[in-house]
Amino acid sequence: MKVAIIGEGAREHAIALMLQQSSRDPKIYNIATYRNPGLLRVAERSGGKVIAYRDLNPEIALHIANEISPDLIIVGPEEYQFKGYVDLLKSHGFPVFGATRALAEIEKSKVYMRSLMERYRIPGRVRYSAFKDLDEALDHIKRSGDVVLKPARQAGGKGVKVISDFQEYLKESKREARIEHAREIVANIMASYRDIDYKILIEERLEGVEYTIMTITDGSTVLPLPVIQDHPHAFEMDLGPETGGMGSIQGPGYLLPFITSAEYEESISIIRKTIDALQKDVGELYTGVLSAQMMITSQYGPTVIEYYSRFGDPEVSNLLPILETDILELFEYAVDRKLSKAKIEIREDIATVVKAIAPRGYPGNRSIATDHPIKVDEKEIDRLGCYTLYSGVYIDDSGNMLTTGSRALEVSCYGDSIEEASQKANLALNHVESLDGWRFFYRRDIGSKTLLSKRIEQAELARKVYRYRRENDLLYRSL
Amino acid sequence: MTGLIGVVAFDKVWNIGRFIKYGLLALQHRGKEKIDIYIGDGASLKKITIRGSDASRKLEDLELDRVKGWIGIGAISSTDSMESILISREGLQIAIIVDGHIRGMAREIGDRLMGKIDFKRDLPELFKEIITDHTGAFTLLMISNKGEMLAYRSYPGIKHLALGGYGFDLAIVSTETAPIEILGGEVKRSLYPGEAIYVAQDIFESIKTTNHTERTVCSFEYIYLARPDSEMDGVNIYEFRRELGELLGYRSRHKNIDIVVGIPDTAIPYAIGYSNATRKPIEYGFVATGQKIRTIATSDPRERIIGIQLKLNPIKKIYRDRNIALIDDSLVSGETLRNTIKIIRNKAGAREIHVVIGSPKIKYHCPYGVNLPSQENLLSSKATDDEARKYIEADTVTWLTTEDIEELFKRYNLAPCLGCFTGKYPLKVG
Repeated sequence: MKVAIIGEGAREHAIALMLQQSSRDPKIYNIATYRNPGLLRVAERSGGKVIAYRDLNPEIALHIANEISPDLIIVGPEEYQFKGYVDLLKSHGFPVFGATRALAEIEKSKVYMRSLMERYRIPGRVRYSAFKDLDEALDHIKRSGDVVLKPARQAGGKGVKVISDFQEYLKESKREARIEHAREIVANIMASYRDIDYKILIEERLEGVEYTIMTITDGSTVLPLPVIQDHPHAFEMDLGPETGGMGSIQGPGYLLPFITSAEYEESISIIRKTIDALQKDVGELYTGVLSAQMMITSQYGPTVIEYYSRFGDPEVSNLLPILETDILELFEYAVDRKLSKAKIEIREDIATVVKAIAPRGYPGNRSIATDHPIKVDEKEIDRLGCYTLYSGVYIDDSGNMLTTGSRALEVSCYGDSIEEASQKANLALNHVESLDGWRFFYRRDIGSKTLLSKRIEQAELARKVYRYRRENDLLYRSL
Repeated sequence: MTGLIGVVAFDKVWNIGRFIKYGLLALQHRGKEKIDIYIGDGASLKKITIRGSDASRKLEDLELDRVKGWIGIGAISSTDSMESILISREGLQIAIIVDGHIRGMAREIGDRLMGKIDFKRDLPELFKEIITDHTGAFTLLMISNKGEMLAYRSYPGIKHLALGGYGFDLAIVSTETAPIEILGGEVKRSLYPGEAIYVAQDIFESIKTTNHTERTVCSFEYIYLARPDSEMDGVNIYEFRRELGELLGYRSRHKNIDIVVGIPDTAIPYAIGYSNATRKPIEYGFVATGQKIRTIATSDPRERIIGIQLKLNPIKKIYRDRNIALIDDSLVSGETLRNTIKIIRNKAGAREIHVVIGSPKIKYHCPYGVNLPSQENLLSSKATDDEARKYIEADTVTWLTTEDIEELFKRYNLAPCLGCFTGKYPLKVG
């Protein structure tokens, strides 16, 4: 059996590794823009290969697929879904796991997502305004206080600005920063996208604790994965700019210590309602992954921050040590619309921690973070029982491993507790070496007791407030 | 005494002037006659200096946001224990502020760094190399025109520095934690003694300059200096003071007391503790006029007397024919208490006045920069207990002992510097 994965990140590497564990020994092919060393190895070991084109597009992918003739294609990254890879491959008869262009709109257009939730009155929605015009957005910003600014389109996680606004004496400075940021969204982030009219989304700011729930669906059955928590701040102690995620924690079991089972169930029900609404709205069935980035907020309880039409990265890597179900079977059931027959089983006796390591310069100044050589002692990482997942590195013609400017790689480790898994991950990342002296950073504190108890405390605070607000019927109301 | 604040924005859209301004205003209880601020934009540094007894008022009126920049440090101080300097060389600028007690330290550290800087080695590496030669009780903030900030707390931690953050946008360091919260930020933790924090838009590093892990902290900071809404090395200052008040209360349960009155503002937490322990009602005893003046943090003696008198207008009715437990955090020169007792005895008609002090007897000066009067002006240094009692005209005076203070610090796994009580100082005074 042949499986092709389209995409080149740590997410696709993790998917490939899980496919490798399948009892059906699939040959794994990777269609990508560059050679990810991890994917390269998995593909070659399985008898498949990597086909890399710098200017990959749906037509080239179709051409490659025609040559390989895979039994299943997985389209990993959101941008490929937005560009219609899934649609084109499906229309040529390939079984594809991944959201079509129309369904992936739930991730691509943050405005569409908010309006869908609003129109279908799905719980977990927030107040928002969307703007096609910068001046109108600026007008709104000048009048509003405690808000979040987002580019209207998914832009690789870039451009979100959360500025809490409580102190009257600092208001003016915060307003100026928002205005400056709104200009940057339009001038820099949104300028390169031609596939959306909206430029800026302004949402009310939420307070609470974030988490991710990934689900696999065939359009009628929705199978939820455990709660996983990402850590978006670049630096220790939740300091520093927002990144694509510096690491994530999970387990043991389906919950994390800061979330109740009622909140988990409520979150899943929100996701189900969203899938129903999305399918109704678009008129297509959803085959693939829908991940919800959520927050237990003091305003509403479980609330949607963003949706991803694919596995979260680094969250998907947490599945590696725990997923007991054959993932290939899950994908096939989903594609055949027989997911009701499937069941997700995970190891509930262990916790997992994923940590990413990035070159200095990521995320704000990627140009200085590019092309630094690194060495990874994978044997030592294996010995710790951890997986190595390659992300922002490529192999040049002379066989050197060089950074692309993004997070370079991830390790996924497990242990009896989150703390133990975290310590293993720290040890594992000691085996990543910078060969030109360039600084690399990762977060030792992800999975630490201190950080986790802080989250529990924050969640309890939010819980108290949202319960009060619910009891007093204060949700989505203003005087 | 000095308060330091440092702010780095991770995004250039920020203009952090207002954050520095309100950070410093939140530290003015530590002194407010000398203000130095440096603000940078990644290309150059600008200096703002304010001097005079009305310096903090001038700062309030200053539109600091007009000085554009996304990185800055500032100090507000009452003494010469604060030094700051701006050094430029070949396109590189660094500004250093030191809250310490060794003269010329800011200049010396600056010159040594500048002398060593080249393109191969970066600031944290060089800093680590030179700082081990500089011992003493000090904290230091430094920024460069390249947009880097370095914050350092010397070993063994007599002076405090805390780290905080504001969302994805700012890193904040401050002598106390309260200013971080006043800026809307979240307090992360105290710096470890001997730890330097290096922050730029693309990096955050904690640099260890010693392998020792003990902490010796300034007990006077906990007793008097810090704001009660601050936390230092894991200790909530308000709770610390209330607990000392409780301890004093348990010991004097036998006393015939009708009401408990604390001298505002610092002694109020002690008075609450004392009242809890004695089960005697606490009363609101004094009303202040105008701006709050901290008597120790004011160097001009005349200003000090005016300060005492303005902040202590008694509510006379509560005192008449009552036995009063009058709580103060410390007995320094005795001036405040002498004045206060005169008011409540002579004018308000209190019967007995039992003075309760939330600290041991202060007998020695502080070599580390706390502005205590010289030894001959410290009441407990020159007078016996009974002489001191008679000087302030109280019926009784009770102090804490240094053992009491040590005991409480031990519960928090901290060792205190008790130099002003014992004359024994944990660090050589250079």
